[in-house]
Parts: sequence; structure tokens; C-alpha cells
Amino acid sequence: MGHGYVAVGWSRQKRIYDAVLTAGVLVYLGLFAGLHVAIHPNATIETAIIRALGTCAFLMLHVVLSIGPLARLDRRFLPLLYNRRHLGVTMFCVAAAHGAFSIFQFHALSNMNPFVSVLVSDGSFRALPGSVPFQPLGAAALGILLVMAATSHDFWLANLTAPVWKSIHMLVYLAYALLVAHIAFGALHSDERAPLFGIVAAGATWILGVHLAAALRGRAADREAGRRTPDGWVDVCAVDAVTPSRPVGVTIGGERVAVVRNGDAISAISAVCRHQNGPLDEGRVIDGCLTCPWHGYQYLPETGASPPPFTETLPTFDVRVQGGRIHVHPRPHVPGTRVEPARVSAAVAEDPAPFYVGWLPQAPPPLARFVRRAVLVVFAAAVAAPVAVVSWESAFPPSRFEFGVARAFEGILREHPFPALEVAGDHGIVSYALVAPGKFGAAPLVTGLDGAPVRLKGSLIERQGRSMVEVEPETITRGAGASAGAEAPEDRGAVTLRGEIVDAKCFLGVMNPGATTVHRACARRCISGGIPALFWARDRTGTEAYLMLTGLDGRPLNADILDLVAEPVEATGRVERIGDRWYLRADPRQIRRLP
Amino acid sequence: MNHRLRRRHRVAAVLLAVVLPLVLYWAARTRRPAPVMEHLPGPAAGEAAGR
Repeated sequence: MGHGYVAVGWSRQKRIYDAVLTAGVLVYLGLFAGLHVAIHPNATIETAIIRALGTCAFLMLHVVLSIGPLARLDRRFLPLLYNRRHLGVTMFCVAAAHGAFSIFQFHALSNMNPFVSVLVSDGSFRALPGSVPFQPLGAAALGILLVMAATSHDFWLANLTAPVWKSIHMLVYLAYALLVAHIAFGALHSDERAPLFGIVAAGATWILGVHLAAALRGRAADREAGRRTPDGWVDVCAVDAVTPSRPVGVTIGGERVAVVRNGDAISAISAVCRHQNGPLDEGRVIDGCLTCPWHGYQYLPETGASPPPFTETLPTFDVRVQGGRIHVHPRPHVPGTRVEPARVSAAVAEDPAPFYVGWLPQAPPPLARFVRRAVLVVFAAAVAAPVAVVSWESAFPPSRFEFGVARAFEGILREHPFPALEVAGDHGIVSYALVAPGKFGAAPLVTGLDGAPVRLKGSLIERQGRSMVEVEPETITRGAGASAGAEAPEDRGAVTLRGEIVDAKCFLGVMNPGATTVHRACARRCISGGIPALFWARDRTGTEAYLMLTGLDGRPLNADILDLVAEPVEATGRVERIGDRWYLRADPRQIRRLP
Repeated sequence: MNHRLRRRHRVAAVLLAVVLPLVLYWAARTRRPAPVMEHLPGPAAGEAAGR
């Protein structure tokens, strides 16, 4: 309330809330990551972490958005509302971790500032409607959640005022819509299995359902109630309809007024709590004060003022009792103005329903039991969601990246069209494509070494027999001996292929998945950084072809095909083989996005 | 809640009810997993066999 400043007003219930929340998040993340590693051992661990964090935050957002309407539909949910901001801030932290991991994974160590890359590398909105950049949508949602989390404290609520603060926090609905689009046009867009779409649709249906139900219910209560008396007062209700445990709300002049009974005194004050505009007409008289059901703010019914030392005040209204009916005058007094209450004598029955006040040490036992059951339902969802999501994800093909393991390689270096090392082995010459650390090609590292014997160290990347080495730049040394000429290219014929253009480094094992929409931005950064563009085609028998993409002149096509990366495309060109390295020579105009 | 806030909640609910189905429908209609060919043509199949 308006007295002094406390960073967090800790209470026993708040500690329990946060402990349960933390446990729920940890259970979810642990379960998701564990299941992912067990069911999809080929996926890189970063994939499991990013997806665990993202789905966790999205599920938490559903809980955050559900509490408000559920509390309007059933007041037993109100205890969950009391500390909802802790849930919201925690959700933002989980979402921010998802964003941070994704930005590092897909955008860092490249030729562009990662924060700029998030906005531009996933494509352009000019490509609508066929291709929608999903990462800017997620970034926008995260920005909204950041503003909300940063202003969540009562310090900002008090300084911005409740209407402004609430307006800012209404943006959560925009964030939710952006996130649904982020997921639908991202993870779901290229997934081969439909059930995940169903899960997101079910979540959206739930959120819409509870909000529309709450809105319909509130709308009925918002109709201007009561009839005017000849002298201009509003006839609200019978005297015995108002009890200390059950104020009556009435809409006068478009705003709610709470008619309150405290002993034999009947008063009327604005029903809009100064704290967060909570519904005081749904509150209860405790210690002589009308108490807000949301966060327990209190007001004296006669004056509309909070008891000292607090300073909040509300408008008051004249009230009278005539013929067993309560009348309220529609003209409000200045907030905090004392108004003499109307007196009644008839005794009234109390409402036995328990009432929750967050700052009291204990919740009423029936409410505590209900809340425990509700939390168990949320925990059940937190167990079911990872099982469903991980089970229904698309399969991850075998690949590997020996991160942190440096092997020594020795062979003949080829500079063109992409750097490669030809290594003599027991079964002939084996080629290793070479790339630099991060999202960069190895061409600058090997300039002038074409045909030269070379020693180097690097980490092996491998997928289905196609190998690549991430070179440690300082380890490249020219060996003894003369340069060797390259094998002549062998034309294998014309071909039209349907498939996808991927960056060879991630696709062959550095990231798994290293293809489709979810990897689009990273692939564009990698290919623009000089990593070979690979044409990936496959057929129904499971056979896959990986052809490095060059132009008709045999030079890399990287800059010409960036807009087509990670999109379904059809390419016409000629297959060419140099040793065990295979290329697709194509005119970029002969590569088109499939409709 | 004050009147303005209640109205905004209703507007948000109605907007979501319009926008979310459209977004999901649009995404479902344009959903495109990586293409799968009936058979890889000879030259490309040669690459696969060569590994």
C-alpha cells in the first residue's frame, strides 16, 4: 500500500508460492531435457535446452493468462492471483533464457551483430504469405514481456498509476498472439507431424474460452442496474441483500460502486481499488474495512480512505434507506470525503464462504485445499506437456560433432570451389570439407595453399559418411613436398531435384536439427559467412543426397541463394564429381521456391 | 476492475478470438516440411551410393 517502500513484502504464503513455482519449473525443465536426450539422442543438447525453455515459458504463460478469468469465474482461484506477478516474472526469466540460448546458438559468432541478425536473418515479411519470419515475432513478444517484468513491482504501479500500468500489462495479450504465431510459423511450420499443432490450438482454445466466459459474465454485471427514484437517486437493492461478507456492486455512470454493510451502517464507495483497479464489490468487510479480493487493500466504508498510515482514497457516495431499499446518489464525492452512513437495524446472515487475504498468515483451509488441487492440475500439465511434445517431435537423423576434440589431419589442400582436405587412407582418398570456427567458411584460412600438402588440427563433423572438419586456424601448416594437381571434374549428368538448401556445417552435425524453418536464420548466417551451401534431397526410401551448390562457373553460389535457404525448393542443374566430392552446378535462376 | 479495464479485456478476448484461429489456419495451410521426392534421380542417387 502507499506506506513506505519494501522491495518484496515476503510472507509465508509468498515463500510457499515461489517454492512451488521454482519446483514446477525445475521439474518441467528436467523432465523435458531428460526425455529429449532419451528419445532423441541424435539431437544436439542445445536443441533440448532451447525447446525445454521455450515450451516451459509458453505453458507458464497459459497459466498466467488463465488465473485472471478463472478468478472472475470462481473466486476460489483468487489465492493464485495474489502472487501472479512472481509467476509472470519467472515466466519472463525462462523465456529470456530461451531467447538468449537461441540468439547465441543461431546468431552469435557470425558476420552480423546477433541482435540485428534476430530481426533480419530469418527472412523478410515481404515473403508473405508463403514464408513468415518467426524469430522477429518471438523477439517482439520477449520485448513486451521484458517491459512487463521490469515494471511489475508496486514501485512502478504507484508511479505510473494503475490505469497506465494496467494498459502496459494488457500488452500480454499481444505477446501471446505473437508467441502463437512464433511457434506456428517456426517449430510447427516445418514439423512433419501434426499433433503438435493440435496442442498449440488446444492451448489457444482454452485461453479464448476462459476469457470469453469471464467477459460474458462480467458484461451482465456491467449493465446499469437499479432504477432512478423521482428525486434522482438509484434504487440498488433490498437492505438484507447486503451483508459484511457480501457487498453489492452496482454500475452507476459506467463505473462500479460497492454498497457495503459494516454492522448497522450502510455506505457506498467506488468499487475500483486504487492498487490495481481490483473489484472491491467482490471483497469483504474485515476489521471494519472493505478489503479488496485481489491483494487485500483496505478502505473505510464511510470515508473511502485506507486506514492510517496508508494513504489511498476512493470516491464516496451518499446513501439512504427507504422502505427497506437502499438508494445511492449517483454524484460521487471527492475521494476520501466522509459520508454519513445510512443506519439499519435488521440482522443479516453471514456468507459462510471463505475469503482469502494474502497478507494474513494462513489461507482458510477449504481455499487452501482447493488451491492445492489446482496446483496439482498444473503440475500434471507440466508432466504431460513434455511427454507429448517430445514424443511427437520429428525424428533427428544421426550426426556428430566432436566439439572440443582436436584431431590431426594431413593431406592435400583444395581451395576451390570450397576448401577441402584430401587425405590418403586405406580405402583411397577421403575428402574432408573445411570450415572455420563459428559461422565462417575456411577460404580466408587457406588462401594460396591450393594443391599444397598441409597439416592441421580440427574437430570432426560427420553425417552419414559425409565428413567435415572445423579447423583450428592457428594449426594450419604447410607440409614438405610439391603441390599436387586436382583431379578433373566428372560430369554425371543433368538433374532436377526437390529439396532444401542448408549450410553444410550445421547440417552435417554441428546442430541437429540443422535444416528446415527452425534453423533458417542460422543457415543464412553460415552461408553468408562462407560455409558451403549444400543441396539436400531425399526420397521415400530414406536415401539422401548432399550436393555442394555452385554456379555454372563452378564458384560458390552462397550470396545468390540466401533468400531460398531452408525453404522447399526445386533446382535444375548438373551433378559433378571431383574425387569423392559431389557438386550441383546450377544457374541460380534455375532454383525456385516451391509453391 | 474499472470500466475501461473491463472493456479492454473484452476487446482483447474478441481480438484473440479472431486473430488466433486465423494465424493457426494460415500457418497450417502454408506448412511446408522439407520436400521428399519419389525417387532420387540417378546422378544424385550416385552421390548417396558413393558415400
